Amino acid sequence: MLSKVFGVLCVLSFICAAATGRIAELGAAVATGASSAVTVSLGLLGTMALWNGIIRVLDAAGATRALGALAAPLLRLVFPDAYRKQNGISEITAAVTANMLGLGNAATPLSIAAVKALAKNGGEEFAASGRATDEMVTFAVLSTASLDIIPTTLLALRTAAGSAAPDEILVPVWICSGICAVAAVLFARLPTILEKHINKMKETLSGKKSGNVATAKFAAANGAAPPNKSGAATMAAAADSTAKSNGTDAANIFGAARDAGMPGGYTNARAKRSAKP
Amino acid sequence: MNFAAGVVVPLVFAGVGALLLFSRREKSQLYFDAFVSGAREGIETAVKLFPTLVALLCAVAMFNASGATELLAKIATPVLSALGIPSELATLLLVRPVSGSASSALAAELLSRVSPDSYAGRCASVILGSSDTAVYIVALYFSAVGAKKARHALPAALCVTALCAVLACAIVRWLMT
Repeated sequence: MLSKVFGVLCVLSFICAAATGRIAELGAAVATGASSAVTVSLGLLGTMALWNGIIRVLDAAGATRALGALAAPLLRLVFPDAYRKQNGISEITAAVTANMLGLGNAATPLSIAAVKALAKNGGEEFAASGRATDEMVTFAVLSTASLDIIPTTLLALRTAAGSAAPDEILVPVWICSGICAVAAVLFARLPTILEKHINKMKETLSGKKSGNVATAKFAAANGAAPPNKSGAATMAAAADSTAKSNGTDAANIFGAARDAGMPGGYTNARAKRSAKP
Repeated sequence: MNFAAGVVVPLVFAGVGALLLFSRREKSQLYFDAFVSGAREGIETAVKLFPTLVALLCAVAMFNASGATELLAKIATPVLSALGIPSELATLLLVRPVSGSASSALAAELLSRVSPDSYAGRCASVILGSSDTAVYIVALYFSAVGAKKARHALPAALCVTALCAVLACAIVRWLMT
C-alpha cells in the first residue's frame, strides 16, 4: 500500500508540475525532502525511545493485566458470541490492551490470534463460505478506532516539530478515540441489527399467525436469560443515556437492537426499568 | 483543558519513579531493564522508519512544490470546511486509512509547515492519534483467517475514520480554543 501511495504522489506531482510549469522546482523539492527526513528522524529518536521505555515499565508493572481486567467486562458485551462459546475473549482482551498501551510489535500478532479465535467460533459455516462473522467485522472495525493511551509516534512527531506542549492533545485523543470505539461497534453491528428488525417487521405485517409465533419465540427467549444479566442491564442503561444525548436517531437504533432478537436479558432489563415509577 | 496538558506527563513520570523507588531492589532493577530494552526498541522503530520517511518526504515535498497539494485542498475545501476540518489536512485524510508510515510522514511534513500548536496542527495530531489504517487492518485480519467476504467491514471502518476526523476537529475547537 505504501508503494502505491509513493507512486501516486510522484506521478501526480509530475503531471501537476507539468501543467503549471513548475517542473524545475521538483528537483529542489526532492533534495529538501531527503534532508528534512534526517531532521524529523533525529527529532523522533529521543521521544520514541523515552515513551517506549516508559510503556515497557508500565507493562512489566502489570498495567496490561489491570487494563485487561477493566476492559474484559466491556468486551464481553461487545463480543457476546465469543463469551458464550468461552473462546476468544482472552485473546481479544490481550490484543486490545496491547493496542491501548501502544505495544506496537506485540500488538499485531495478538490481534491476529484474536481474529483466528473468532474464526474458530464461526465454525463450519465460516470455514465453508469464508463469510466474515459479525464479531470478526466488529473486531476489525473496533481496531480502526485506535484506543492508544500514549500515542508515542504522535508525541514524538509533535516534539520534533517544536510544539510548546506536545502532550496537550492527549485528552482530546482519548475522548475522540473513545467515542469512535463506541461508533465502531455500532457501525459494525448496524447491518445485522437492521436486517433482523426488518425481518421482524415483515413477520408482523404478514399476518397475525406468524406474529403470534414471533411473540411466543420472544417469550421463550426471555425465559432463558444469558449469564451476563447485570452486564445487559448496564448496556441498556448506557443505551438510554446515549439516546438522550444523541436525540431520537440513537434511540431508534438502540430500540431496534433491543427489539430485534437481542438475547432476553436486554428486554428483561428494559421491562424492569420501565416498571419503576 | 490546558490544565491536563502539563499534568499528565509529569504524573506518569512521578508514578514510574515512585514505582522504581518503592519496589524491592531486584524488582526495581527489572523495571529499569524493561525501560532500557523498551527504549532500544523505540530507537529501532525510529531507525526502521527512516528509509520510508526519506522516500515519502521526498514525494510529499514534490507534491507540495508541484502545487498539487493546494489544488487538492482547493477541491476539498467546500466539503472539509462544512465539516469544520482545515483544508490543509486534505492529503493526510486521503492517506490515513491506507498507510500508517505514509500518514506519519505527511503529519511530520504538515506539522513543520503549520505550527503543531495551531488549529490545523492540533486537528492533524488528534486525527493521527485516534484513528488507524483502516484498509490495512481489514486486509491483514481477514487475509490471516482466509475470510473471502469481508462484508461491511471496510465501509464501516472507513466511516469510523471519517467520523474520527470530524470529531477530532470538533473536540479541538471545544477544548483547545
